[in-house]
Amino acid sequence: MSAPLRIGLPKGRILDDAGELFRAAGVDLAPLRADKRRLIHPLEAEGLGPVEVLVLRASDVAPYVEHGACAVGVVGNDTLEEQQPDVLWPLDLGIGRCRMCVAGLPGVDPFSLEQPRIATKYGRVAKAHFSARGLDAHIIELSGAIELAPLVGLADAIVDIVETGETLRQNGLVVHEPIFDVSARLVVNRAALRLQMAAVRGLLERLEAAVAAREEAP
Amino acid sequence: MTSNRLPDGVVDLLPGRARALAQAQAHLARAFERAGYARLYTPLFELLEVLEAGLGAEERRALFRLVDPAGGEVAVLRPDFTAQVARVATSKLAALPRPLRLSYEGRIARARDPLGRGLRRRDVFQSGVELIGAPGVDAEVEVILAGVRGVATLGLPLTLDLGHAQLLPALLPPGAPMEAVQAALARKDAAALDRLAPGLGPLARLYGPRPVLDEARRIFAAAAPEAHAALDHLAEVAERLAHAAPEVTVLLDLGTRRQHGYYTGLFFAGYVPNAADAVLTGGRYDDLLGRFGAPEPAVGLGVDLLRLVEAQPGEAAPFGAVLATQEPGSARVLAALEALRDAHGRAVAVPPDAAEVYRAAHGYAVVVEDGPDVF
Repeated sequence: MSAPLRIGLPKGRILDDAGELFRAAGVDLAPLRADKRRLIHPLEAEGLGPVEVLVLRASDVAPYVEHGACAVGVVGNDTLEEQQPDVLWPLDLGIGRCRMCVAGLPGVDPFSLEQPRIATKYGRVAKAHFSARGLDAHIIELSGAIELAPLVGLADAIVDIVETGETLRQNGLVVHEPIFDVSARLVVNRAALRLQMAAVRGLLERLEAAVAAREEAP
Repeated sequence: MTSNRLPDGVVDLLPGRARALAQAQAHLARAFERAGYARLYTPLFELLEVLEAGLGAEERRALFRLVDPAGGEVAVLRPDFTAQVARVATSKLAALPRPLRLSYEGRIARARDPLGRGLRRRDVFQSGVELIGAPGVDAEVEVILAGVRGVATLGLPLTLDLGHAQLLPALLPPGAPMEAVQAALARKDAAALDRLAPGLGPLARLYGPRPVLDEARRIFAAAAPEAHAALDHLAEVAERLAHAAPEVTVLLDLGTRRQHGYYTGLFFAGYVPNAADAVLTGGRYDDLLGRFGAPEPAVGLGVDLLRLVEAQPGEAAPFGAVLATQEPGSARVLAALEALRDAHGRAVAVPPDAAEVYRAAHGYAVVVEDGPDVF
């Protein structure tokens, strides 16, 4: 198959962390940093054939892969749980680790309210988590600065990813309950796994080895 | 604006795509008929009470339900043809000698995606075949070949993925949560699989050409005999297809999801370039007919026509003739049109000053000027 293996990567910190893993897997992402305006980066990867890398918004990676515009991608399972795309997610890359949490002001227990108002970027995750507790939460979907919502009375609590907890602390918020652990995953289009099997499998196996090596390192 | 809205998950097919779809449907119909499958039409909607016997829990959740205004009973838009064909085969066609070879074409409706993956297409064009009363590899290969030949007439190279419904139950350690394991397997998440069912992780990586079967035999050497029977079965089907359809790339996938809960043995999915998911799915469903009448082994497949059409490369080639004439209704022109239709596939009469615009807008190949040599 001569078509290039197209890889979708998310902008930002994950891209830097993924760079290390991809380099170990034989795909050097350095040209991406050299030319930030370029949208499609053709790369040569030893033994994988031609590769094209697209740098996307984190929330766009799964749609690109699901619809086959990219054969593989890197995206956090926070986004996967929220978007529920129909893709394979065969490998935990172990980078971009954080936790999906319910958080809020220390004195306010959202689980004791009849209909807690929850501000979040993750409407589906939040709804499902409160539903599982038998609570019909009122979800307020925001696209940024979620921590602000409980401070100004917009919401009783928030559902968001928490890395160090520093932002929460600075705003006087606490974690009420973790929901699940988050890390970046390799995702693969179902058809690409069959139609570009050699390249997809090659990349998957090399990344698996790179992840294992990284985790063994002190 | 509001008067032109459509619900999510449905589309209008405009002339270009509609023609491509009609042609794909015709190609498949011809391939299925050549292979001996007789056409059958089933109702667009049926009683829930009857049809639900043939549906799994997931499919039941995805049903488009309606209350029949004529009788107050709960009806459903058909979510699938296989259950309907099973119902007919065990009742109205119960007396016909076996095996039965039946084909269908038409549309199915889903209120939501049966696998819970958000709202996808809800009005799906399908064509397919069912081979009823036939056990064994011969029947499975026959059905697969009917599908392969059908897709081949559209000029698309096919990659076929084979799996087996008995494999996972045979390998699953006692007490492991089946549903969670299936979900992890559907994503090929080896780490999650190993956490849920220790030792099962390798299953997520067992896909590819035939040597994966040997690898599986080695890794799961101590597994129950049912697991080895499933692997042997897959090996035989793959071997037979390699000879009967060498142009098809045959892959094994020992950790894939079944498209339907009713598959009991071999199941398969066909992929073509430029389609993001399978265009053909099928499998053996030996327990389904027994839910409607006498139990019988059966195997079948369905083709997703729109996905197939969307995978076809390029624009449709223009064809047909526009006759530029001042006398569109005259007997002479009407006769000339028939002759042009024979020669060009289609022809229409258009006033000369509008002929070129009409040709370009509607995908005709040529404009023919009216005149003495139009015949």
